[in-house]
Amino acid sequence: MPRRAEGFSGVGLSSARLLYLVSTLFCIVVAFLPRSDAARWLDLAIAPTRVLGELAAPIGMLARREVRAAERALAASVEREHAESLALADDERMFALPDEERLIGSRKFAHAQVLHRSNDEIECELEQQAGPDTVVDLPVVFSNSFVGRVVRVDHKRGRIRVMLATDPKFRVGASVDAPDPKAPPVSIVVGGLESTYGKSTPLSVHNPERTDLAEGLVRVDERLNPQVPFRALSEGFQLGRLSRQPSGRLAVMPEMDFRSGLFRVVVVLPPTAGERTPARSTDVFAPVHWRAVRAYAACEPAAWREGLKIDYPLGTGALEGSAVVAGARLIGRVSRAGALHSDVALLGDRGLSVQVLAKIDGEVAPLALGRLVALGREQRAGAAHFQWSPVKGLEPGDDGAQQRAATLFSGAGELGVPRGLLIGRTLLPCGPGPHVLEVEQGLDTRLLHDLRVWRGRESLDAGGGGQP
Amino acid sequence: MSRNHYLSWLLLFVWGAWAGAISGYLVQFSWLGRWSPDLGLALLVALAARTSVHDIAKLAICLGLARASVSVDAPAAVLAASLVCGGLLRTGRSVAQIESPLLAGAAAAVLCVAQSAWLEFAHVKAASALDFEHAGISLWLRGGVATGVVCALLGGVLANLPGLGQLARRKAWVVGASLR
Repeated sequence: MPRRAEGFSGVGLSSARLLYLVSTLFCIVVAFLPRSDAARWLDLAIAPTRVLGELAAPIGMLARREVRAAERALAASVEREHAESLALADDERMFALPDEERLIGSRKFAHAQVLHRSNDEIECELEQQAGPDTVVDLPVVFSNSFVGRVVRVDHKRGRIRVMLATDPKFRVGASVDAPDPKAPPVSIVVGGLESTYGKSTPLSVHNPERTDLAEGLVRVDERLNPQVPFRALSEGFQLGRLSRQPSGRLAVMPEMDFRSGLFRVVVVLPPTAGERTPARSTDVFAPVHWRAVRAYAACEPAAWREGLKIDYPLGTGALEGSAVVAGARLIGRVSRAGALHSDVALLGDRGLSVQVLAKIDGEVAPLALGRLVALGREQRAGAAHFQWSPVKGLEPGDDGAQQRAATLFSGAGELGVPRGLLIGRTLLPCGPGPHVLEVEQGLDTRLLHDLRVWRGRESLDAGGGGQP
Repeated sequence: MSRNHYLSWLLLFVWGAWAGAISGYLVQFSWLGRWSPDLGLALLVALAARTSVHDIAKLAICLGLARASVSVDAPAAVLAASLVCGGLLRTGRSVAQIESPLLAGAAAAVLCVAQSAWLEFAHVKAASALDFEHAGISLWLRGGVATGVVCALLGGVLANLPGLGQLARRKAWVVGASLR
């Protein structure tokens, strides 16, 4: 006869039933708190169930013919995909530099890759060694656009921290053409974000010299404040186009997507800066950055999920969000790092998100698409659907085509996912969006067993266990 | 509890994991696709209809853990789904027999739809990058129908998988009737 719980005997609740009820409620609550301590303890408690997963792994053998075909297809394409990724890196580097004559002269440039961002600051890794001339307050740009200023330099690790022009504390002097073409340019101060419900990131305009301004190109002009360091270096870089908001206030609409389109920046250095040597290998496929893993279960029972389990537990360095690749292809991200194994959400898994860079056919300049969110697949092994909400709609092609064929790669700026991993082919719709992209991956990534997980340069810096 | 009884519970874990993996294979790679049944849930209903009422909670825990071992859904969400299903089946068994194929099939279908909805809701809320409006209601319904049909047609087979006989012990009057 089960013992009645004290205080619950009136409603006939035995201690076993009470325990069952409490356990159920506990699991329900913890299901919404996947990163809580309780979830970690639960994960530790059920860690031995990995044995069951391994026991069920032979079920995957039923698809062994398809597995072999997928592995052959991957092996045949890996060299080409690797080369595509390296070529993309060269294009990215080239198009990150300014192309206006007046912005190139009397300056040197140092490339940096965005590692991650927190609010209005980005952490970047310099591709060349940081010399003594890499200091705080240097301007940071992307192509002809002004991005922000260096606020911290870590010479030892070759890192810089950049405060973006969207930061509420950021201010930069600027000028815009006056309505009267004969009048001198009008001075304004730009910095911080203008309040808006839109997707764009308009920059606030402060203390304009005149308020009757029309549209025009806003360029950095620090003559108003002679105390600003390195003002000659930032002079002339574009901040965006001046526009009047629905509220009647003036704002600057930047050319670039500050929200999710910042993958690479360039630090502007004085012309006297010394020559630099590459800091370290920029090849994301260098074996030192990756950990080989084995997928042992790809038979996910839920029809709306797409994932697999890998033999890479938390204790050996697995971190949530790390990229999982097969060859040069991004196939998913670690969704849960467990005590004895990790779960991987594949690109066809709803809710997975990734920063994406597109290489449009016939164009050399890569296009930052920003963050894509996976919506799953309409058909099993069919195209993976992603939601794309562009800040600025894609222009139609020269032939008027409303859809542009493109190859998608992972973009930088997110911990755990390096830039340049192949995602797949798609047709990018033109116009403001939001759009649903159908991405063809070319092979069924659920079938692949020999995978690699990104350990990252960050983890190497931290001695192998750092946060990527 | 006898040694055979312990062995039955151990085998239930293994069968549960295999049921989850076979469901996964069917849904991910076979021609059945999204019309694939949730064999783990069908096994739970089939056993719950035949076993002692007091064992249903243990069945739910075992099969929840087994599913968590093959699924990438959060273990807490999977266990919560299984525990709720076990609780509902226990409540159902206390008021009615669900051994008939029709009732067992209906119970499995309803529980499968509810479990699918819960798991997807928990995933979407935890992922936070997606709205629940993208939920695949048609997927839940197809899975529910398939699970119900399998439970109705093969419930007896599932409950009598090798090693599970001790758990699906029949009631005394059924045994008595069969001996006559």
